[in-house]
Parts: sequence; structure tokens; C-alpha cells
Amino acid sequence: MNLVLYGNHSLEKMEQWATSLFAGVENKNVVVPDLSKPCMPFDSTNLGQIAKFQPVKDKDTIELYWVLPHMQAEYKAGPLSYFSHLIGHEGENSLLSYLKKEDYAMDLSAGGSSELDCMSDFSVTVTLTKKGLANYEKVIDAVFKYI
Amino acid sequence: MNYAVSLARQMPEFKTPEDVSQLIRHKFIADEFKPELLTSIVDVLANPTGCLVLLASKSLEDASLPIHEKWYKFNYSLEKFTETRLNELKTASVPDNGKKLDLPPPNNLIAKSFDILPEDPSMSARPQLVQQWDGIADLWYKKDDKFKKPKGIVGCKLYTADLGFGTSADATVFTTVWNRMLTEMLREFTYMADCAKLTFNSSTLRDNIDLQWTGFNDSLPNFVGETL
Repeated sequence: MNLVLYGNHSLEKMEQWATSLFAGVENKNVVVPDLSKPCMPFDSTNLGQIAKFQPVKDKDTIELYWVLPHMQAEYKAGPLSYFSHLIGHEGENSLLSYLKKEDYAMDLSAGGSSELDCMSDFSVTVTLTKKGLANYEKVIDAVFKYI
Repeated sequence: MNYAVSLARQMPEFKTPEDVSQLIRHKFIADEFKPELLTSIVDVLANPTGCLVLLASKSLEDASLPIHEKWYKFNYSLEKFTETRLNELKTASVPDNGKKLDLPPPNNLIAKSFDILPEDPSMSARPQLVQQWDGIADLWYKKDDKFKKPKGIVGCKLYTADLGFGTSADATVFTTVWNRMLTEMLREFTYMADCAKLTFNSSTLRDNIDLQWTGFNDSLPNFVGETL
């Protein structure tokens, strides 16, 4: 069990609360399964391709998705933050500004996460205009050009 | 509460006492710089062979989506990138439209001083009317001595009846569109500000246009000046 107490009371007071309120939680000595063995959910047979589908919401989007080795242990270097900051940048010189100038995009987000102690992923998602949808291959070009 | 929950969710990843000491810090500071790790990630991202693209649109024709997903009950299609397309993406080029694809420029809106201003009860007890321009504008100031933050808020209300502002449906539509255009026009600039923890917001209210800036005392004057 992990517990976070966050407040503007003294540490002594909060420690006292943590003990009195949570001491009764029984330790069942559960063995947490080890999921750290690298496991890639996708391989060459199902990457390098495009999937098209109809969403429930009436919103046109394109997402580029990559699978990466597990990055959580590198939290002191925060490698994925560099890429979410640069690719997700919205100021001068940004991918979004380029796509907006072409009338292809309404917004863009980029970010990564770590899953199951065994892999990380990274994705770039662009909300498309009608023109962007019609030119989705050019949107993909621009993402790769930026990278 | 969201903050406590997000920290608790991350705790299983931070196993040793040394790790736990970094729990809050790691989100804001990259203590280690590992160029070889960054290069290895670029190598993955730049390779279209390892990329899965998902295109979602209601306008896709059913006939073009031959595969049926039996659990979620929707139709989709899968198409491998051809060798030609893969090669195109590896050396991707885009037409020049005047917008550069490059690293962000240096951000001159980042605050350098985080000093708390000395207390001044004469200014913090109640709002002070600092200056008046006869019949045109009033300038009010209220200093904060309670929260002890190196931050301020600048608010500006423009009361106007220009173009029938606030008097007709047409005028309201016009100002709403005007406001969205203003927001879009300032987008690159306000994004840089956002990175420096400064915000700008404009809204059109019943009888006034409301502009508001928030941020650090050190960078706020420059930010307001550049916005205007």
C-alpha cells in the first residue's frame, strides 16, 4: 500500500493521522506480480501500418503511435519529456504552427507513458480539419519531417 | 486531492528511499542529461516501420472498412505502408509555407526573480485608486500580503459601445468571433508565456471586454507590454 497525505498541517500532526487512521489496514503480504520482463505489445507484423476506423464522436483525428523500451527507470533523465515538449510545442517553429498554416490541424498533443513495468510508448495526436483529413498523408509527412 | 492521488499512483514506481526523495522533483527537473538515450528514442520515432498510424473519422465509408471488431463492434481497415511510402517518410519533405519546423526559440518570458515583495499594509489593507484619467480610465491596485507568492494578476476591462457592443445578437456574434481570432492570433506568443507559467485570457462580457494576465511579478510587466 502507498499512502500520500497532503495538507498544510504540521508533519507531526499528519503522521499521527496516518498512524491512527490507517494502522488498521491489514497487511496481507500480497506478492505483486513481476511484470518487468520486456513485453512488446506490437511487433513488425502490426507496426508500419495505418488503421482507419469510425469513432463514436464526430471528430477527425490522426494518431501516430510508437512502442519504446521501458523508460520509467530513467525518470531522472526524463527522456520522453523532451519529445513531448518539442513535438507538442505550439509556439514559433512548431509542428502545430506549420499544420495550422496549412489549415490541416485544430490542435495537437504529444506525450509518452510507461506501462506494466515493461514498456513505454509515445504518441502524437492531431485533431484534423476537413482539409487535414483529406490531406492526412501530408500531416504524417510533417510529423516525420519535424522528428 | 488530485495531487495526492497522482503522487500515490506513482509511488509503486519509486521503490527505494532515494527514489521516493525524487517523487515530486522528477516531474520538473531533469537531473541527468543522457544524449545517447535521447538519440536512441529519435531512432525509434524517425523510423516509420515502427509506427502505427490511427486515422479516425466518421466520414470514412463503411465499404472502405472491411474488418469487423467483434468486441467493440466497429469496422476498420489495416494497410501496411508500402516500401515507397516508407522511403518517403524516412526522408520526409514538406512544402515551405513560411513556418519553420525547428527547435523552439529561447523563451524571454521566463521569470528570473522569485522574491516576495516586502509587506506594505498601506497598500494591502484595501484596494487603492492609484491614478485616474479624467472620464476615461481608473487604475486600481491591491497589494497582497497574505499569500506570500511572487505573483500578480493584471486585469483590464474595456467598456465600450463600439459597433453596438452588448446591444444586439449580431454584435455579440461579432465580438465572440473577434475574441477567438484574437486568441488564435496570439497563440504562439501565449504558448511561450504558458511555458513560463504566465497566462493571458480575454473574454467578451455583457458590457465590457475583459483582459486578464497572471504570472510572476518579475516577468508580468514585460508580458503585458508585449501582449498589448
